[in-house]
Amino acid sequence: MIETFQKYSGTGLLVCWFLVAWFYLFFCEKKKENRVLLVYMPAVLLLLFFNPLFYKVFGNLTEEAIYFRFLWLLPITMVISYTVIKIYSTLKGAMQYVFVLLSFVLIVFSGRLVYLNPLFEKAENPYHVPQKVVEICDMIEVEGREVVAAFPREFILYVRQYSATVCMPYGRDVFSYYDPFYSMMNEAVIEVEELAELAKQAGCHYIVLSEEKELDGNLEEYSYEVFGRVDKYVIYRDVDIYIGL
Amino acid sequence: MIGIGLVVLGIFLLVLPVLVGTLFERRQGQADGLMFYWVSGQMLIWAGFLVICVPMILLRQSFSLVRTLFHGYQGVLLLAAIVLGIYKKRRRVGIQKKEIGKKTGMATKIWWVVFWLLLILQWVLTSFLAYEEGDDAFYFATATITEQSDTMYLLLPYTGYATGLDARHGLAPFPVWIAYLAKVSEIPALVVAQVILPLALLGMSYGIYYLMAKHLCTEKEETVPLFMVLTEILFLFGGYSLFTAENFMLVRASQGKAVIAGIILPFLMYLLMRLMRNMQKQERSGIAFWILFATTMAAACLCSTQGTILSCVLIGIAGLCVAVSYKKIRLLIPLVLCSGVPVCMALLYFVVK
Repeated sequence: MIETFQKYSGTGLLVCWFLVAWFYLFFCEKKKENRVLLVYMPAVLLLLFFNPLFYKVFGNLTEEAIYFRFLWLLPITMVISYTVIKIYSTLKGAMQYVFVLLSFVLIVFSGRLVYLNPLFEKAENPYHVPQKVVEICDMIEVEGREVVAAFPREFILYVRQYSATVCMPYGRDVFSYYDPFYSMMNEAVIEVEELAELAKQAGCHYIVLSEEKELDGNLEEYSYEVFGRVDKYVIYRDVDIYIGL
Repeated sequence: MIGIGLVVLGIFLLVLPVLVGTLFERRQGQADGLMFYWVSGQMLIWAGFLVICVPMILLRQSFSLVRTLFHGYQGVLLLAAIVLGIYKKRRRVGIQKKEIGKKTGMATKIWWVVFWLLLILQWVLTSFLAYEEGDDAFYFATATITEQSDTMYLLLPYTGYATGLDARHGLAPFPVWIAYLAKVSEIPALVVAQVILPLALLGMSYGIYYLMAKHLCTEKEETVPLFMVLTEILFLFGGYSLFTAENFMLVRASQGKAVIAGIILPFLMYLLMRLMRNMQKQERSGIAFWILFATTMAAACLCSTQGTILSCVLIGIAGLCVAVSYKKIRLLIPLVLCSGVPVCMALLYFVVK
């Protein structure tokens, strides 16, 4: 519970400001309706959150990993914003603006800009998937049927979001278990014979490999021919399987 | 073609919910404002989608059948709203005139400009920045499959292979609603989910905070837009942890769980505020209010299976606090009744799990 709370709090500063604001409202808020929602409710919620019995029940009902979502019920934004407004309303003249400015500065320095997350990058298209995925999928799709294609790790998250007709022998969940095919695709040096065997077992029509991958052998000897290239990626097609092309 | 699609989405995401939301207009000619109608209407639409879609998923029916039934449902709501709107027309015109006459101070105008600039900035960043989010591979792939294959939860989103019915995820079919929007607009589900829907949902989330601000900030006129700017800054700087509701709303707005965090739970809190305001004034909340409460609870189930539990816990805790504070234990009866759909969904979850 404590660990979950720490994870949710991150740097912890904004949660500290929430607690400070909560105490302010506890002593200064007179309106009953606001006290109920912004003072009593968060207090009961935190008591429940740190209650081992509740943790056990909630953990049984859902997954422990998502226990933190219970903290979404804490009106952190509302309590902080309302407290600032309440103090602002008691001030006069320039003091009001100094206080608001100070509040902004405190929030900015206590939090972290969401868009600074390194996982954000400029979208290459309206689908928000790498353009290479769009081009490869468009190239290998066959009208009226599904095709199976093995993709390198960097594309796994995106292929099925873009196209329902391009199937994959392994998906995003492959990160949580051992899959020999996926493992082979990620080897520094790929044993072509083994790769071809695994691909045929999985019924793969296509294999997409980076040009930078070192291949021990020639895929063409195992009925895979070069179907096309997108940037540094080579698409191999199994000519033994008829797919209507 | 994209232009027509955008207009269609504008109708389904903005115009239709606003019109449907007028069904919740209070009596005695009190105006609730467009924002209230927009959110309320969307809740009723989502609740209906849940009630139509889940049985169809469990019965392994096609997505096209869900679309047909949902078209009918929305049509009935629209018709009801129009009939009621004509009936109340005179009263509404009177209120609009009264509001137009109000003067706005300079500080208020400045804070609103700041608010809109920050909101536009967030819309632009949401549209032009891509985020590498693992869960998109499940939810948006499900939306794409539903749109393209006409099946629901019968194919594995990660690989595309056939599977038994994934009833567990099928109990919260938010991705199917995305597929519905994609189908009616003829814009790919992934574009709807990644670009268009976040704009509407982010706007709706701030809209709910605006409704709260109107309730909370009554002392000075400029405090409403100032509250909104503060809320925006707290959202923008909510990246101090990956788990905050604010982070979820800005990073993965089209996932059902983000909708729970950023829309459903705040709207339930707003409804509780409204309930207490009515009690304070010794006014009855009325049947329309309780229907809205129940539909919001049902809408929580559409978004995420955990939304079922979170909404019930919120209502349990807050309801108890309200009932004890106002010494009205009887209040718990309608609150429990409003939790009917989530309780049924929770039971169903344990049956199909």
